[in-house]
Amino acid sequence: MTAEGAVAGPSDGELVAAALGGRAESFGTLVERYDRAVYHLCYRTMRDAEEARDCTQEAFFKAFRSLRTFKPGAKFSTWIFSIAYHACCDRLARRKRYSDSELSERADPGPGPALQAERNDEARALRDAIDALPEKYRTVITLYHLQGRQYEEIARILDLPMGTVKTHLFRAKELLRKTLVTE
Amino acid sequence: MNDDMDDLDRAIFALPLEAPPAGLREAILRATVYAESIVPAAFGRWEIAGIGGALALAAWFVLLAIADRDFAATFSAGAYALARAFADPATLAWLATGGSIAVLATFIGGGTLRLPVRTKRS
Repeated sequence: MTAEGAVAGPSDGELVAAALGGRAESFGTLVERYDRAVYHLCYRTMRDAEEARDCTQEAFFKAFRSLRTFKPGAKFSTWIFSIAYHACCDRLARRKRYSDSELSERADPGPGPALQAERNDEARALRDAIDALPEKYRTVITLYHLQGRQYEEIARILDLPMGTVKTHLFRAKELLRKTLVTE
Repeated sequence: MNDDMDDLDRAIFALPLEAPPAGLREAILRATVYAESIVPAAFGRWEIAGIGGALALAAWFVLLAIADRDFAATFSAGAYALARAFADPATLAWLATGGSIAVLATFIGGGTLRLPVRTKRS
């Protein structure tokens, strides 16, 4: 599953062009297409619902303000994910308190009784395993999920060489596999 | 091993996306599409002040010209002299030279805003 899937109606590029041409509501369609995926990326990166919400808003706000810098022919999803990812990084860097141990404390509290049953669910276990990954692996896995197997797009978003992305992805999968096997 | 990885891939791609909190989309739209301050105005504040000032000056000249015939004559002569000066090929050549130099200086001076390079995260 990718964030984009099959989209009916005008393409992302056409919507950007329309928004730049004065039809600002076209940007609203882009928000409808990508807000969930962007929030997912922010949530997985920040592991905090409130901060993920802020980062998502910030990403769309920045995108709207700098829509003119969007290169025609580029993928809007890559562009907005890149903005969102960097918004998350800025926020994490500003906090300075960022560390894996701290993030463990900041991660979702343990499941309540109602969620305890869901714990056994495979998806829930996988989500927990992803949450437990170090940030760089977690982000790569999240983008792999959102963008499909498009390593080049992932590398562009993270501003990393493609080889590094592939290495991170391999290690992330290895860690996930080990975690899931031991559970 | 490969089967494990294939299963893992399938599980990853089957993961549902996190549901965004209620009201997020509306908040984004309010901050972007429906934000009045972001919609570019037809005229900026300084443009409005400039146009208003020019109109007031023109109205003042018209009133003076109507009220005082001598002023009208002096003003007409001054305007005529100014128009002649601007019609002079030498004046136009100097203006063109000055404009070209200004444009050239903008390009050579590097008018492009350079943003700080972001440090790569590994």
